[in-house]
Amino acid sequence: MTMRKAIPRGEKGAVQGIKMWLMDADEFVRNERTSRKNARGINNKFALFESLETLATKSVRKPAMGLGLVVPKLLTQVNSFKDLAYDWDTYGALPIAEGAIAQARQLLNALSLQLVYAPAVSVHVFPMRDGGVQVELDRDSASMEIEVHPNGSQDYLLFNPDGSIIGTYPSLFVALRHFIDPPQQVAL
Amino acid sequence: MPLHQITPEDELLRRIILQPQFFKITPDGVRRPTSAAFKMRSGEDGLSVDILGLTTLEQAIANRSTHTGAILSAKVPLDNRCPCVHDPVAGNPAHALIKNVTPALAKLFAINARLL
Repeated sequence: MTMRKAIPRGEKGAVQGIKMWLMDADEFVRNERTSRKNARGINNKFALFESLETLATKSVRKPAMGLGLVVPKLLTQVNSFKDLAYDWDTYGALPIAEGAIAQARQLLNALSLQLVYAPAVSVHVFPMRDGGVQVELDRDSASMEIEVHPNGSQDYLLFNPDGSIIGTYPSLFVALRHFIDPPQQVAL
Repeated sequence: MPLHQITPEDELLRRIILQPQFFKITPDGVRRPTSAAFKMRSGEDGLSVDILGLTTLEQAIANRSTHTGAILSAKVPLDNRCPCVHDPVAGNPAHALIKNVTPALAKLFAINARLL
């Protein structure tokens, strides 16, 4: 796997590319929105897509199985969490916060782009007892949990298939990289 | 009623909501609860469960049309340094608490739990 492929040629482009790797993909997209219609920005969006494709296509490339196909169903499920009243789990669970639902919707849309070529990733969404939303991604080699808390903040956890934790991550982008390509030895 | 000393041989039951689904179906057809079912929320002293040996499924799950149960061997939390404490409450003498449950351990519980 080569990371160089993601960095556009040219000094300015390269600087942009490195910045892109350093920040969360969502943050990158947000920043790009503020400078949209900028040709360099478009190139870097493509670079992001290209790099994730490179990560994801370490095995068979099956765009027909992309996450985009199931996102509408997942969004509907997330919306249905609005109907959960207090104590929905019989253990005092809180209603799901509007902010968490909105954030989870954004997250699913982002994932549908970032995992467009990821092979055999199954995705589930669940309400959380504290009023948040949990997104779970599963592959044969790893599982990932994204906790969207009621205040909109997110935590990223990566697990081995046996349930032992690989690590927690501050950034969706880094977590996704390890989800697609789990580290052999982790020192976090 | 004397307090029960929970041992690795005990089975603990956690109620699981059916709609929206609080479980997923693995590619090999096994229904597996989500770790979200085993995560504590702030302010909780422990994760509530019922000691199966002190109750029945009918008592533990009052409405089987809305809820099912996930059964976890007490060995799993005990082996992971999570004390399990019998904590009878009004109307539920089989109630117990699993202490010190972190999000990482919740995943382990979910993988090792068996859905009814």
